[in-house]
Parts: sequence; structure tokens; C-alpha cells
Amino acid sequence: MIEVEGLLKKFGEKIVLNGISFRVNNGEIYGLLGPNGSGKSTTMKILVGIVQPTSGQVLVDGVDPTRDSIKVKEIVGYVPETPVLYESLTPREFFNFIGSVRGIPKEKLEERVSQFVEAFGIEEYLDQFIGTLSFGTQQKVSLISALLHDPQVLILDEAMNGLDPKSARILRELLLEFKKEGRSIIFSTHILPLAEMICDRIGLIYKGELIVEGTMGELKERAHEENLEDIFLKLTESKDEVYNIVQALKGTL
Amino acid sequence: MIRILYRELHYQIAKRNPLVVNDEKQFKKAIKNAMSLRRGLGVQTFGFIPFGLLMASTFVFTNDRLVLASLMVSLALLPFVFAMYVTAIQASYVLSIGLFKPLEALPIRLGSKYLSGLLFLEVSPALGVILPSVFVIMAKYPLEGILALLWVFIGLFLGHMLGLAIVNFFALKVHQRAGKGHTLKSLVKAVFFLLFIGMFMAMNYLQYYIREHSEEVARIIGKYFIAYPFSVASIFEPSRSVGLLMIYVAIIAPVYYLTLRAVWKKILEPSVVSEKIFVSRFKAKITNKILALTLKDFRMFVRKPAMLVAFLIPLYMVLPTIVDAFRKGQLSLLNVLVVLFMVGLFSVAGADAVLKVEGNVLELLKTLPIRKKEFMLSKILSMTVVPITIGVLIVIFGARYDVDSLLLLPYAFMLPLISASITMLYLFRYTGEDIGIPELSWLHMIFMIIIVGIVFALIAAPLVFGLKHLFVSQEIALGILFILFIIAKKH
Repeated sequence: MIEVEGLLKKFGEKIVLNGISFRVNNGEIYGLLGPNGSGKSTTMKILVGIVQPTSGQVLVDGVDPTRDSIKVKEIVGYVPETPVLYESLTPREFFNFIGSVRGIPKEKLEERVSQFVEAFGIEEYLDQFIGTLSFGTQQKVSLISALLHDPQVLILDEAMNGLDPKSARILRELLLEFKKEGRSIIFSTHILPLAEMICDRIGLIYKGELIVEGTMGELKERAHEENLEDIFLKLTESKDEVYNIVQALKGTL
Repeated sequence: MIRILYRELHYQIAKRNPLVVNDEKQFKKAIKNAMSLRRGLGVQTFGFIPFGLLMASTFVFTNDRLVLASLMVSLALLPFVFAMYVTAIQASYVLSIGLFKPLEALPIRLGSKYLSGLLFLEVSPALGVILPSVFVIMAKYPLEGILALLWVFIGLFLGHMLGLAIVNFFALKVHQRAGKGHTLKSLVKAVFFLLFIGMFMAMNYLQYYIREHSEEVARIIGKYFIAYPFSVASIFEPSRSVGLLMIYVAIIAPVYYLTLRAVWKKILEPSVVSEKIFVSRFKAKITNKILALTLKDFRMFVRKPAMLVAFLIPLYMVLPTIVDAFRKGQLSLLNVLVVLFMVGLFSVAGADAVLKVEGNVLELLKTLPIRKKEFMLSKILSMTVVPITIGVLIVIFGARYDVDSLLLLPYAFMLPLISASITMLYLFRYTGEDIGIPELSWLHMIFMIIIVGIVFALIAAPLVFGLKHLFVSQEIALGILFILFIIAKKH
């Protein structure tokens, strides 16, 4: 379970997160949506213990990342929005490195790597340097490395980026399976139909504030719109803006 | 453009420095420094000037043209080595943090000129060490001083160009596949690279020789007057010096242009070395967390030989002794001992490489359950592997001449460990559990060499009363190592 209460983050004078609160239950996929720069990634980094909050309370499976970030890192599997990997290692070496650092038993590591490598179809890339792999394959390596220790909590920051349709489908099914097993998942994406499809509840962050939260049904009712894209545009006050911009662009093209 | 790149580079360095990033005031100050090119360079140059003045004092009290020319030859090695070192190390770092990625999509014909300009700026504060001596010559002999200044710039350019060539040759290749064959090739490359650098390090050895045997050296300089740095001695023969300078410029200019073209081509499209793909099942190889981090560092060093430059300073300490031993057919116990202390002392320089090897992957490490202490210990290990190996080899080599050399073996292990532990404990002194990459400037490095030097003096103190006190000295070293271990454990 993840509990966030009054989370505030400032970078200098700039307020990036302005007292946001939400909760992700066990066995729940929580969609954290918002425009670029709204504060989604910062929220996720605070949950993982990479970034320190200015104030507010965060609990990940009962552990406060500001007090025991190591414990949180043991529980959480985190996929950043762009893969951050050692480019001069091969995926094989990288998985062994992650396994060693996380203290994963040899048999378990062997089994899980073999399964995921096969599932995401990267067997032939196991001995190529990560730096030479395509963005999508690097994203798969990043994804697999986040799943190796069987995390109780998953924090996925635009994890679908760069994945081919087959891998995206596999990841989607995996997330639904994890949910059934009672794990907590925070999922951020700009692919709104996907969020609509798999998230139990959705929180919309805009300019550092959580402006709305609820199930798909609750959001539709609140915004009087039929799909998530329209809800998103309406609540972020972008619908008219989008129309005006497109009209203006048509004039210049 | 260079101003933007300089600011971005120093912003990225500040962002990766936990001493700065966790302290709002410090961070603002660092960003302020990073944003101002003049301030950033000024602060660094100012730090070098005291050393420059120290070196210039030798020139002040020397009036003999022959000795001045010989001293200038040895001084001329500094800009060359500085430029080569900074270019090779910093270019790999700059490229690994993706500083040039935004430029790749722009219609720029020769973007590497910006890399070159940026690296020149990085090298320029080192002129603070050299210029005071040049100004002294200039005050005594104006024309010769100007020529000396021009030769310093030639040295800078030559070193920079070689650094670029090293980066071009070693750091800008993308191997699609690793494996035993690749590792072997990388090792061979690294060995060649070591030999290549060793060649220039050996030249520095001549510096001592020059001072001791200036008459004899003058003859040698006369013989090899064309080769840099011997060519610098020509400043007291202006017409010959100008001629040589023109020859150098005529050769350097086209080679520099061609190197820049090759570098930019490879930045845009690193040459991919394809190898046969053979898919094998994944077999887990689990190690201890600290060893896994060290192993990872070494894999990366072997694959980025340009990073090995930082480890070459201890090698430079060994080289003259080995050459001398071969020449004389003997190697005294005292010589081996001195070399071991020097290797230990200058293993401080390895800190630069073991910290910079992380590039932009710090964020990944921060998501893993790694304590600062574990990270620091892994860096101590990474720092010591090369100096310990060099130390052990020199002891074994020494045993060929005097079997008692084996008694010095404990130093080969303890001294680099002490040196690395002090350096890392100092750099990771910030509070909190967060891992980060502390900033390491030339000034930090010099400061650490002084601190380690003081500790080593303590260890060596009993040896002043004769080698029979060897074990007392080793016990002191062990005691210091134990204290450092306790401090590291509590860190």
C-alpha cells in the first residue's frame, strides 16, 4: 500500500508539488496522469526515495522513504521515464549486477531473467552492449531489471514508452496479474485509452496539485465527458486552448 | 556555443555532487559559478597560481641559459600531459553524459570544434602553473619568453590533439557484442594504450636527468632537437625556434582538422563493431554487493580505456625505476620501497576515474538498495586494484635482484588501501545515506596527495632509522588501516 499525505516539493522557490495526497491500496493499479512538467515523475521519485520531499508524509508498504530509503528500494520496482542503464555492460552482465546488488538468490534470478527475457523477446540481445540497443529494447532491459526482485510495489513512469505492441500487451497482462496478486502499482502514461483500460483509479496532477481523483466512472460524472482524453483536456483547462492553437497553426501552414 | 556547453557541463557536475545538491545554499553557489565562465575559470586558475609561483622561483634564481633551456624542456611537459589527460578523461565524460546529443540533430558541420574548445577551457586553468615561469623568462629575455609562451601553447595543442586521437580511437567505438574475444581485444588495446602513455611518462623521467646532467643533456637535446619537448630548448636560438614552431604548426593544423572531422563523424555515428551472435542461456553469477559494484567498474574501465589514464600516474612512478634496474642490472630494496610509497601516494589520482565512470547512471544506482558506505567501499576497491597489482609486480620484479624485496609485499597492499580509504572517506564525508558522485577537482586531488603524504610520512618514519625497523613501519600502516576501517564502518 502507498500513502501520500500533504506532499510538498520545492526546487528553490519553485513549488513542484503543492501538498498532494492520495492512497494506492494493495491489489490496485493507480493511474497518475498529468501534462508534462506537472509533477508526476517527481512524485514517483519521492516514493522511491531518490528525491527528498520538502514536507509531507509518504509511506510505502508502511515504510517512510525519507527515513529508510534502503528498505523502500528493496520493496519497490521502479521504471524511470527514460531508461537509465550502464551502456557499456551487456543485458546479461546488467541483470547479474542487479541480482547481486539486490541479493536475489541465484536460482530465482536465473528463472526470472530467463522468463522475462523470453517474454519480451530479447534473448538475442543478451550479449550486446546496452548502448547499442534500440530505445525499445533498452526500455525492456530497464523493465526486466525492475521486476527481478519480485517487488511488492511497482512504480512505472511511462513504462510503455518505446515498447512494441506485443511487449506492451505482455506488460499490460503482467500488471493485471500483479494486481490480482495484491501488489500496489502506480502507473503513469500519456496513452490515455490504456490508462482508462487498466487503472482502477486515476489521479490527475496539474501544476503540482492533484486536481481530481477517482474511478473512471467518478471522473466521467465529475467532468461530464465520455472518455479520459476529453476529461483530461477539460480538467486541465486545455480543451479550448487546443482548438485555438490548431486553428492558429492551420493559418501558418 | 562553447559558453553554453561549459555552463551545461558544470551544471551537470554540480547536479551530480551530493555535497552540493543536498545543500540549497551550496547548490545556488555552485550554479552561480557554473553559469559564469569567467568566475568558474578564475576560481580554478587562482588555485593553480601558488604552485606556478613555486615553480617559477627556480627560474628566478637561474640565469644560465643552458640550465634555463633545460628547465623549460621539463616544464614544457606539463601543458602536454595536462592537455592530454584532461582531453582524454573529460571528453569521455562529456560524451557519456550526453552533452553533445542536442547538437547531433542540428545542421552543424564540425561540432567537434566545440568539444575541442570546451576541453581547451577545461585545460586552461592549468596554465596558472606554467605561465609564472614563462613570465620570469620573458622578464629576463623578452623574445625568448615569447617563444617559450608559444611553445607552451604548442605543447597544449599537441597534448590536446593526442587526447582527441585517443578518444577517437578508443572511446567512440560501439561494440555490438561483448564476450571473451572482445574482452581480450579491449585488454590488448588497454595495454597498448598504457605503453603509449608510458612513453610520454618516461620522457618526464628525463626531467630529473636534465637537472643533474645539464651538459650531457644539452648534447641529447641537440641530437633530438626536433622532438617536443626537446624542441623547446631552442628558445635561445630564436630563428631556429621560429622555424621549428612553423614546422609544428604546419603539421599540427591539418592533423588537428582531420582529427576533429573524425571525432565529429564518430560522435554522430559511432562505428559499430559487429561480431557473430551466439545466443546462450542466461546463467546467474551472483556476487557480494560491493564486489558486484567493483566488478562493474572494471568491466567499464576495460571497455573505456580512455578512463585508464587516471591509473597511469602510479605506473609513471614505476617506469623510471624499472628502466634504471634494467640498465644497471640491479634494484635495491630502498628503490622498491620508494616506488611502493610513490605508487600508494599517487593512487589518489584513480579517484577521478572511479567516480567519473558512473557517468549519468547515478539515478539508477539511487533506485537500488545500496548504502553510501557500500558504494564508498566499492570505490575504494576499484581505486586500489591497479596500484596493488603494480605494487605486487614491482615487489616480484625486485625479488629477482634481492629476495628480501618480498618483505615489502605488505606495503603493496596496505599503502594503496590507505591512500584510497583516506581519499574516499574525505570525498564521501557528507551526511545522509544517499549515494552520490562527489566533485573532485585538481585542487582536491592535490589536497588529498598532501594529506596522504603526511600519513605516509608517519608510516615511513621508523625507516629513517634503517630498514631493520621495517616491521614497526608495517605495524603502523596496519594500525592506520585498522583505524580507517573502523571509521569507514561507522560512516
